[in-house]
Amino acid sequence: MSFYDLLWMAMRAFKANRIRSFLTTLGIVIGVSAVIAMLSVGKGASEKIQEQIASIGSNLIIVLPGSTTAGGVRMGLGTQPTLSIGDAQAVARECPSVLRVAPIRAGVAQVVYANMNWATGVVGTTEDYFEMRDWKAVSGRVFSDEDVRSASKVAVLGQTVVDNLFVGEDPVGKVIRIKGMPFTVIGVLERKGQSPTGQDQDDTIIVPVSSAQRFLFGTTFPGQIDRMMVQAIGPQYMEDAQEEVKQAILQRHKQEDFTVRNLTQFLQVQEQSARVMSLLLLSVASVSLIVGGIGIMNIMLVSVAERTKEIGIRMAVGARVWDIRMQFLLEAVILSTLGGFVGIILGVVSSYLMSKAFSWNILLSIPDILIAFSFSFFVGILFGFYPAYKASNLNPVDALRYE
Amino acid sequence: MALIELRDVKKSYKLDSIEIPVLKGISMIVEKGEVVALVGPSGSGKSTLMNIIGCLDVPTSGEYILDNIPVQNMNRDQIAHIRNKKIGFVFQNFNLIARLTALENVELPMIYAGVGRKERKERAMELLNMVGLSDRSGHYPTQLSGGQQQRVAIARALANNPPIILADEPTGSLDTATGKSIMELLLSLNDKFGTTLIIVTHDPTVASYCRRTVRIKDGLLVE
Ligand SMILES: Nc1ncnc2c1ncn2[C@@H]1O[C@H](COP(=O)(O)OP(=O)(O)OP(=O)(O)O)[C@@H](O)[C@H]1O
Ligand SMILES: [Mg+2]
Repeated sequence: MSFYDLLWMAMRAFKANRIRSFLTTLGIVIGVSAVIAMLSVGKGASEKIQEQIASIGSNLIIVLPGSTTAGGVRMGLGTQPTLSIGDAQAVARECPSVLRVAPIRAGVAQVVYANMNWATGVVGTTEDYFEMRDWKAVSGRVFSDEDVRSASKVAVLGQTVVDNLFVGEDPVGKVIRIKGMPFTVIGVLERKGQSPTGQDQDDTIIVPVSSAQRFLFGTTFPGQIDRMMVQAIGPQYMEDAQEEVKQAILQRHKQEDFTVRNLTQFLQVQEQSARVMSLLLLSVASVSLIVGGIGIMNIMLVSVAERTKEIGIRMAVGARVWDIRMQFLLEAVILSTLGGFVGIILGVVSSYLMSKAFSWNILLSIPDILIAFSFSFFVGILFGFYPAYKASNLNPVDALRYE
Repeated sequence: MALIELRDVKKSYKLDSIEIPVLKGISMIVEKGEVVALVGPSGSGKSTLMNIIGCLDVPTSGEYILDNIPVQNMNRDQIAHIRNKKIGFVFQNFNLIARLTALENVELPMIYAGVGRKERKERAMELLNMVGLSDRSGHYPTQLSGGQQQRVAIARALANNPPIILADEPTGSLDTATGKSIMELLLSLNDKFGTTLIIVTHDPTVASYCRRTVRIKDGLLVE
């Protein structure tokens, strides 16, 4: 019996039961489109978080002044000004697991250029900061270690600052006023977008730490900084680096009036929870696909029962075991793959609409679509086999006697 | 030459763990080209016997040799092959598939024989023509009279040129005149193709058409 004959037989059966076939397929359509939508939303979310992690920089540790407990009283982190440039230099010198250190003296300042002004965060740091955050200049240059040593009044601007101060003008070479002090713009940084906590990372101006201390924010003790960023030499050295940093500063302060934190870890936890969430959504979607499969099985069982006499007749004129089996299996597979096909279209469309409506990040890949489609195929085989098997096992006389 | 040979064939049904014997030891031989009428009172086991001869059912014990091959040793697909190629079955209630047209019903045995689409359609048309229904090929069974349906069923039984036609009360649901024409059609097959016929009937006039009559009573043959 040829495949064409089988296919034609299946089509005749669907024609005889249009509404039923449609409703059965609908179960699979919903299941497959849910799987596609959940896959794309879930993958999109974790991709976005990964991007954000990458934008922060990898293997980063942050050191903040103030301990978690001081004399039994909980203190807010960063409230006690205790860290200094000297601490940063000591860390860079003494810790073998540390690749780079960037001391940071930062604050909010009013920035003026011509008749435009803008309040933004100003970060005073060293040239290593750009390396650590993998942040490059799109025009001009970032400042050098010479600029830091000589406390030159140069500034590197984030894109948001550029957007708010300059209208159709190249900022490089222009002089802006930060807290009234003239700074020359030497570079503009590439766009980084939002941080994982939702802050605009491009709304910033970066200047040499020495200039920030001397001209912008002052110091209550020599070399005062607000925090330092430390980069470990590799992801597997994060714990070593943290311990080394702690020991190095402890030796200088004689008390634990500072806190060392793994910056990346926090983000990774966030990513993990996004993953768990999308896995959860996906499993709910898969359940609906399985429910669709059970719908197919149910209808196929009804169909076998209804067509018992037909099966008897087919057997009486010479249908073999697999002729009968293939007939019903093919019907189930056609229903499920047809549902899979429509489900993919619906899933792609609905994830697109979701991304537009809620401005979610979605990620659709061809392999995912193929997997969802072959899943619907196997649902057809899986849930079609039992009814087909049952049909083929009928005894011809009994089947013929069935009314 | 014996085409059909039954040796002490018994069939019993189990109802609530009580064995009810229906066929109590049937031995018979049907030669190639014979026309046999199988008669007997209602409930005597005629249909049961026909189903066994037609390979739709298996005996509880005994041997059935068809065309020199013992059927009881065959697997399900081999038996399906015999039903397809060697036997044409005509039922009292026609047993046409309601969803399929007359032509498609006649095509059915050829589909399972692997006959190509074009050849199949041509042969099915030929057969419908032979039973006098060439103008009804696109009709569904519900659009045909009882006599016409039985003609379609006969055309279907002939599809793969089987050497044996088994008819279980083929005229049972038809009026006398229609019944007569169906009988004539069946007998003409024997004349034209030498087809072996076994016909179950209650009707003495139908039996009188046949050259040999086999009587069955309470599951035993009384020749
Ligand atoms: N599936 C079955 N289960 C139990 N008993 C059965 C079954 N099929 C047939 N019988 C019994 O076997 C006996 C013979 O039945 P069968 O149909 O062969 O009779 P028949 O000679 O064809 O009668 P009729 O002329 O009325 O068609 C009957 O008593 C019937 O009740
Ligand atoms: Mg009967």
